[in-house]
Parts: sequence; structure tokens; C-alpha cells
Amino acid sequence: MIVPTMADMMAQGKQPEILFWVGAAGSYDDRAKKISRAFVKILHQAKVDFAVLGTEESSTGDAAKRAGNEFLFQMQALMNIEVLNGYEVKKIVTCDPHSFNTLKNEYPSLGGKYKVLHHTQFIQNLIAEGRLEIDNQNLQGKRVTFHDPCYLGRANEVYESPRDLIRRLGVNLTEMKRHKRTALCCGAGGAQMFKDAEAGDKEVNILRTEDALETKPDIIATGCPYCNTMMTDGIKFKEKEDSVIVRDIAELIAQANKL
Amino acid sequence: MKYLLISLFICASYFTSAKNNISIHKIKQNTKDSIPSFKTDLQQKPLEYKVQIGAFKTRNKALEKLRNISIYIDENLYKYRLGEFKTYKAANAYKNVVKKHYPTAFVQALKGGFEIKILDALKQEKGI
Repeated sequence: MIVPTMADMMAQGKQPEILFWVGAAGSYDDRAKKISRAFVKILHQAKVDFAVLGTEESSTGDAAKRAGNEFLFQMQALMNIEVLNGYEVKKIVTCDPHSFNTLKNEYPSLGGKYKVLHHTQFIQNLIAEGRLEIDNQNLQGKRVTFHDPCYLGRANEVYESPRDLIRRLGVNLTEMKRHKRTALCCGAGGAQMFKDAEAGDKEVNILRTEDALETKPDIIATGCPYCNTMMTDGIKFKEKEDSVIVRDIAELIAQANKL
Repeated sequence: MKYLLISLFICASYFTSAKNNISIHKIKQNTKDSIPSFKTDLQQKPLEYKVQIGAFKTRNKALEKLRNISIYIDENLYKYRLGEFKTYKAANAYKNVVKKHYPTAFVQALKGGFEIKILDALKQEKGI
């Protein structure tokens, strides 16, 4: 799999169409790496000229900011902005709604102004431009429910792009009782992924998994690597891993197109 | 006999080190006070690229057996780097070969022994 870096592009005197911001989960977490790979396969199929920052990509600072460390966030953000502006990046696509939200809404005031898209929005654009088609035969008839990631849905009101892609897979999309504006967090937001939960009766991810299981799905689709982990843990807790799978939309498209 | 054994040990150490051509560098830490002169001095230093294949808290004897390996001691890390290149393109081509054995290998730009950003190195290389 060929994944060029911005440095490779600059050394060749080229400027890619998009920068793929991989994010911390997509770079280091073994499960999330599969989402990054699936998205790269889609980019290759659509012949998109893209590059990553590679070792020059640092944390967006989202987790630091949500945990209350504004100083660390600004340090991390400014380091990234210096690199992004140095490479004259104009358009960024990411599979991580946390990175999407931070790059889109919090970097501009620090001097980082880019057009930022979630991968579902970008794939939707590729289809609209006729650069990509989704095979609707391979997953036909599967019951799929979509969990809205907080930073994609309620924070940025991106509800339709992921649903449009799921419908194109030829599957039966069923909504949870709490969806779109009333969707429930998976339990990872606000840097909660990295700490123990507060005292209570039930973990948030278990509650959200119960929402999903009520729709009797074959597949729980997500658009966020952290939601993916939380929902997968919930499915394991409910001992449903033999009948229900959790997949990112990029993985479903890669599977449908046999990439 | 004792002196003979010591001499043999010193000779063996010398030839092992010469064969593997290990170079050990301690990465210097710049302080706030030295930043203006540090930056001016750094401009004069030659730019080079190396391919980093690993970084460990303790020395890695297996990697030290590789030919032309350089060890950079950075506070509490031993960084193992291969090759010495004048251009990013050459270093990157070498990295792609090395990646078959060390999948996490990457190109590190250096100036006078100091790590610098690839972006800054590329700009200097291109005279931007």
C-alpha cells in the first residue's frame, strides 16, 4: 500500500489534492489502523492524489483541551499549524471526528485555516463527482444502525453524509431511538476514553450499545475510531460478538467494493 | 598472562568497533540563553539526513552490530540511525529499502548533530 508523505511530495515539487490527517487512533491503535487502511484503499480506488504528514503529524491537542489543559493544547496546535502552513495545506480529510472538530473549529483562531472534511463527506463528494462508485450487492439486505459520533453529529451537524453512504451500500438502515440531535455519546468523548468512569450504575458505552441492540442489527456502523472501540467493547460485554459486528463506514465501503 | 589477556581484549574491542563502524553522538540540549547564537551557528552547519530504525531506553546490542550504525543519545533514549545522506530523496529511497526489515523506520534531518524538522530541511535544500 503506497502512502506518500507531504515531505515526499515537496521533494518532488508536487502539491497533493488533500492531506489525509490520520489522527492518533488511526496511527497507533491496531483496530483503528484498519479504518485508516480501508480509507487509503478507497482513495487509491478513486485515484485521489493525497499525502499524509507521517512522523510530522502530532496530536491535534483535542484530548488535552477536553481534559482542561489549554496550554498543552495550544502548544500542540501551534506545532501542527506551523507544519501545515509550511506545506501550504489547503484541504484536510480525516476519519476522526475529534480531529475534524479541532482542525475545523479551533485551529482557525490560532492561524490554521483549512477546508476540513470528515471522510464520509469526502467520499460523498467523490461519488457526486463520479470518481467513486459503491457496489450495493455485497452487503445487500444486512440490517445496519448508525451511531452518530458527538463531534461529527451534534458538534458539527454532519448527519446525512454517513447515512447517505450507508444507504448506497444496499443495506437496511435502521435508526436507534436516540439518533441525530438526540444521539447519546459512546462514552469516549471529552478524553473519557483514557480514564476510569465516574461512579454510577452503568457505563455509557453499555447504555449506548443497548440502544443499538434494540434495532436488532447485523452491523453497527460508526464514523469515529473511538466510538468504534467503545461500541465493540459494549458488544463484547453483551456477549453478542458472534452476531453483531462494529465497522467504520470506510471499512464497509472497502468491503462492499472488495478492496 | 594477565597483560596478554587485557591486550587481547582491547584489540578485540577495537576491531569489533571498527568493523561495525559505530558512531555515538550525544544530542546537545539548547538553552533559552543560547537560542540566538545557537540559531546563527546552526545556519552554518551542514545538513544531513539519516534513517532512524529504533529508539530504546536501553542500549540495543543487536542493532549495534549493523554496519554504519549511529547511536544518538537523547536524554533517556538511545536512537539508532543508519546512513548519511545529503538529500531527502536519497534518504527516503534508502528508508523504503530499510522499511522491509524495520517497518517503523523514518527519515530524520540533522544539522550539526541537532534534530531539525523535515520541512525546514526541505526548505533549505530547495533554497526557500
